[in-house]
Amino acid sequence: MNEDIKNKILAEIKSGQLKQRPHWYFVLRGALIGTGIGLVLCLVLYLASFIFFILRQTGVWFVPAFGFRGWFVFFRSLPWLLIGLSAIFVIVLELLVRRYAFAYREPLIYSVFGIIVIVFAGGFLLFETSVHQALFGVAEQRNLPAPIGALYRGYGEQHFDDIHAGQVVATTSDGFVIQESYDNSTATVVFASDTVFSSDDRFAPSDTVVVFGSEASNVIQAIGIRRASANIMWASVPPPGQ
Amino acid sequence: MELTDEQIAKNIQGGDSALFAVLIDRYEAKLMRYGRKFLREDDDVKDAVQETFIKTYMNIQSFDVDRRFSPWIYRIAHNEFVNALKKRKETVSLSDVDAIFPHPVAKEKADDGANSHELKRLLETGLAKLDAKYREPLVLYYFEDMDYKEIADILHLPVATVGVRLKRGREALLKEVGEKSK
Repeated sequence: MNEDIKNKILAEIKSGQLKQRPHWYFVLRGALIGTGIGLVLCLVLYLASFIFFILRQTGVWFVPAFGFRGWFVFFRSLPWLLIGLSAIFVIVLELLVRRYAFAYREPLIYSVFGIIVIVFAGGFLLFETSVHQALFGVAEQRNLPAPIGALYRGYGEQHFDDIHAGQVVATTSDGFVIQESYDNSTATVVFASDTVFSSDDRFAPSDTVVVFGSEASNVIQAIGIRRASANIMWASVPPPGQ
Repeated sequence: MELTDEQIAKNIQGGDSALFAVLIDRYEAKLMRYGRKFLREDDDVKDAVQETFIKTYMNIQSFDVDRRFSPWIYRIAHNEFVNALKKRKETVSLSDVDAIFPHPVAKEKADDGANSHELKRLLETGLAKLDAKYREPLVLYYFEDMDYKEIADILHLPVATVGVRLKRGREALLKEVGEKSK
C-alpha cells in the first residue's frame, strides 16, 4: 500500500484544501447540458422545417416527380448551406448526447440515425404548421428584423430557371397562361405530348401550379406540371410596372 | 458487517469524509495495477492514481449510489491515464469504426473461467505489444473482473464493440505470443 497517496489526500481533506463539489454544481451542470441539447435540437428542427418550407415555396419540392431531369434540378437547387449547417448541428447534438449511457452503449450509427429521424419528423411537423408562412408574410412586408427577414426573403423569394410556381390566369388551346409568384410576370405554358401531369390536364384560372420546364421569350415548354397549395403564392410582390 | 463501496460513497456524500480512506485502501492497488498496463513510468502511474482519487473525492456528489461504484471510479482513472499518455505525447488510438457500426454481441463464454487463467498469463507477457484500444478492455475483463456492460460504461463504448475488441485483442495476443515462441 502506498501510504504517500493515502496520507496526502486525507491530509488535504482534513485541512480543507480538498473539498467536494456541492451537489447543486452537478445539478446545474446537468441542467446546462440539458438546456444546450434542447436549444441545439430546437435550432436544428427550425432549420429542417425552414428547408422544407423553402423547397415548397420555390417549387423545388415538386420537381423530383418529373423524372431524372427533375431529380437533377432538385439536387442542384437544394439549399446546401442550410443543409450543411443542419449537419453541423446534428454532429453537435450527437456529441452532447454521447455522454449519456443510452447513446454510448449503442453503436454511433444508431444514435446518429435516431437524431436524423427526429430532425426529419419534427422538422416536417413544424413545417406543416403555418409558422414559416406567417413569418414569410411578415418578411415580405419588411416588418421582420434584419437577419431573420433577410433569411426568409433571400431563400423564400429565390427563383430557379426551370421551376415556375404561380397561378393560372387564362387557359389556351395547348396550355395556359401563368402568373409567376416570384415577380407576378406572366408566361405562356405550352403542353407537349410527353408533358407529365401530376393529376389531370384540365386547368382553370386561379389554380395554383408548379411548372417544370425551360422558358424562352415568355414561353415555357412544360416537361411536367403539378398542382400545389395556394399558400406558395407570395403576398406582397407588386405587379409588374409598379 | 462490512460496508459496500456504494454505502461508503453515500456516507461520504453525507459528510463522513474520513471513510474516503477505506475507498483508497480498496482501490489504490487495483488502480496502480490498471495504470501500469498503460504508463511505463511508475511515477506517472502514481501521479495519475493520486489525481484519480482527488477527482473521485471532488466529484463524489455526482455519483449515483444506486449504481455500482467500481465502474465509476475506473472511468475517472481511464480519463486520467489517457490524459497522462497525451501529456507524454504518446499516441492514444482508442476510437475506430468498431464503435460506429453494430456488431453481434459475443456472449461471455462458460469456459472463459478455464481459459482466463491461461490468458492472464499470456497477457502479463504480451500486453505491452498490443494496441491500447485492445489492451484496456482485456485488462478490465481479465484482471479487474468487469463484465461487458461495465467496460462499456468505463470506456464509453457500445457493449458490442467491447466484445469485438476483446475478441480481436485475444487474437492479437495469441498471434504475438505465437510469433515470439517461434
